[in-house]
Amino acid sequence: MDIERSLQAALRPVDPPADFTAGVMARIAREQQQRRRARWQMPVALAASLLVAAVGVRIVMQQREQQRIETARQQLALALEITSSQLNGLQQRLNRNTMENGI
Amino acid sequence: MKRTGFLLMLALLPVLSVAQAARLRLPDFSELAGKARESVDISLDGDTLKMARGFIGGRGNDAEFADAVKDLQGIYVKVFSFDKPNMYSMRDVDSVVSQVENQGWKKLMSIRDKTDRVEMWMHADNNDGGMLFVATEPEELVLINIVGKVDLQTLSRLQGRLGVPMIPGMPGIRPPTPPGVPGPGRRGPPPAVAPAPGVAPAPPAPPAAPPL
Repeated sequence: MDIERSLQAALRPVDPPADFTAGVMARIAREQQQRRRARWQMPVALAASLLVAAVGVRIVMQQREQQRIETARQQLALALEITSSQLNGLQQRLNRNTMENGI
Repeated sequence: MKRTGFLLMLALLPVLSVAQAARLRLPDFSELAGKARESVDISLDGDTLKMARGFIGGRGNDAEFADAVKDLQGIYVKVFSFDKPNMYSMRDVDSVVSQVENQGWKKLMSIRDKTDRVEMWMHADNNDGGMLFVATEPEELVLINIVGKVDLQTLSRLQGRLGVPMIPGMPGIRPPTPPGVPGPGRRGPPPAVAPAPGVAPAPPAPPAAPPL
C-alpha cells in the first residue's frame, strides 16, 4: 500500500516551469550560433596560416635577394680592388724601370 | 608581326655583338683552382653588375666606387697563386691574348722579362670600351677582362678604398706603396718595357712614369 502511494507520488505529473520553452529555444539558438561560428573557424585559421606562410616566404626571399646583392657588391669591390692593385703595380714597375734606365 | 620582330632583331644584332665584343672567352680554370694555394674567380655580368650598382651609395668612397662602375657591363677576374712555379699553361694565356689580337684591340702596355709578363689591352672602340689585363709570374697568374668603358685613372685610385679587408697573402692584391717610393723589387734583371705599336711611349719625365 505504501509502495503504491509512493509510486503515485513519484509519478505525479509535474508542469514544466514557465520559462522552460524560452530556455530550450535560447539553448537551440546558442548551439546554432556556435555551430555557425565553428563553420568559419577552419577557413579563417587556414587563411591566417596561408597569410603567415606567404609573409614568411616573402621575408626569406627578400633576405636571399639582399644576400645576393651584398655578395655581388662584395665581389665587385674585390674585383675592382684587384684591378686597381694590378694597375698600381704596373705603374710602380714602370716608374722603377724609368728610374733604372735613367730616362 | 613576326617579320617586324625578325627585322628588329636583325637591326639590333650588330649593336648586341659590338656590346659583347669586349667580353672574352676565358678558359675554364676550375682544375687550376684545385692546384692553386689561393685563387679568386669573379664573374659579374651586366645584370649582376646592375643589381650591385643600385646599392652603391653616392657619398665619400662610395661615390668613387659608383663612378668607377657606372659604365661597366661586365667584369671577370681570375687570379691564381701557387706554391710552386709553372703550374699553369701559357697556352691558356695565349688563347685569351690571341682573341684580342684578332679583334683589333690596342696593346696599351707590355712588360716582359725572363719570368714575368704583363700586358694591358684596350678595346679599340672607345664608345664600348673594354680592357684585358694579363700578368703572369712563375707562381701567379692574373687575368682581368672588363667589358664597358674603363677609366684607368679612377680605377687605379680605388685601391684600399673599397672596404675590402687587407688580408696578407690575398691573391692579386699587392700592398700599396707610398707615393714616391718605387714598388717592391722583383726577381731578375730590369724588364724591357715595350710600348705597343701606335701607343706613345712614356714621355721623359723622371723620376715617375706618367699615370696609367
